[in-house]
Amino acid sequence: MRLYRISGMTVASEIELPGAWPLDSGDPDIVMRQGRVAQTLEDSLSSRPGWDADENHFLLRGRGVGRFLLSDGRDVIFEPEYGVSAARCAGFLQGMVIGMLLNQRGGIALHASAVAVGGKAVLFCGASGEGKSTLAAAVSMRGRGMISDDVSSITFDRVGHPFVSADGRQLKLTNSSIDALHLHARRRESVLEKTDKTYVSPPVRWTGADLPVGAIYLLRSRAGGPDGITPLESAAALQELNRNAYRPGLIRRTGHGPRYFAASLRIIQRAGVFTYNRERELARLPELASALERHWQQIGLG
Amino acid sequence: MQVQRKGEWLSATLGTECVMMSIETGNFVTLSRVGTRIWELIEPPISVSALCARLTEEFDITDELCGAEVDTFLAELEDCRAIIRSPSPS
Repeated sequence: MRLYRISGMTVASEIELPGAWPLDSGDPDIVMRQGRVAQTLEDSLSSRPGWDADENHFLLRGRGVGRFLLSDGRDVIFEPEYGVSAARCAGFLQGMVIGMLLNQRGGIALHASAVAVGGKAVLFCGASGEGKSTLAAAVSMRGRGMISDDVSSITFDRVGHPFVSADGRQLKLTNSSIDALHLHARRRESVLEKTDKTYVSPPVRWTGADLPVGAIYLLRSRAGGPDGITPLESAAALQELNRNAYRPGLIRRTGHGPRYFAASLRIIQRAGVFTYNRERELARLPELASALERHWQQIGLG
Repeated sequence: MQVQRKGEWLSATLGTECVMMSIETGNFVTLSRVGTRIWELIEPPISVSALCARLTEEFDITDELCGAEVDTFLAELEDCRAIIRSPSPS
């Protein structure tokens, strides 16, 4: 079994998980094995064409990939479809499967990339293709450690302060972003499920303790408003954080909505939430990163 | 006309507003102070005329204006699938 650190958890996997942060040793929180998985979950409490769920199990049917059975937030069995390699399942295991395992374990997963700034975590949220990873990479090139990419695991301490767990996985960037950021030397293998993306070793990686959430930016391109960073008032921030959960529809349908609502409320009470409207022009990345650094000085993150 | 809540909603008070999220649909609704009071008054179901009577007692507003404002507000809640309006039982 290979060992990895993913979203703050130690994961043992029978197959290689490209881009994940490898570990030499550790007691696994999660075990991923290849095996037989039924077509459906018996006595499921909720179902959709792509999945069945009950209180402790989640059966995911990835069309053209395979089936994944998640149990008790700990065990994963996956069965690739006929003719599909086990390696093809790795993308699902690191994305949707990890997101749902976090939910089974009572955690919170945001669709966000995060960087370390002044001892705090700064998160970039946004729809797929909005440029979360690219902006995080541009910031990381200026010496800020990458905490997580695409999925950010949020935990809370005993008094309710939100923290982001170090993930340490490699960035998934398009070739045009790699060109714009001159990251060719850090390029690793191609991402299997998306041929236009390649794993890239982050310029700086944060592998330390969980960091408290310092600020959250909702990335918006061509939103119609002026370019720049604008604070969101509380009601809108609460709504946006729920929208930027990792797979919000799935979270709602599997009964995790109330936890995410409560978690979002705690986050907005302790960290600023801002919109970042900008043209998604790769040539402007240094300028966009500079605007963020100025903003961090203004809000005391430094 | 009778009005009643529809579905299960989570709520949080943020400053002077009440933010609600539908557990079923994920829809969000933000209520002002008066909107929050209306939300309280329609649990249990109530007739629109009784609702307006309570509001004109509690707020400085005429019957006519209250009726129009309540009608607009209830239509917005209906669009968000937060309430059901139905004929009052005879």
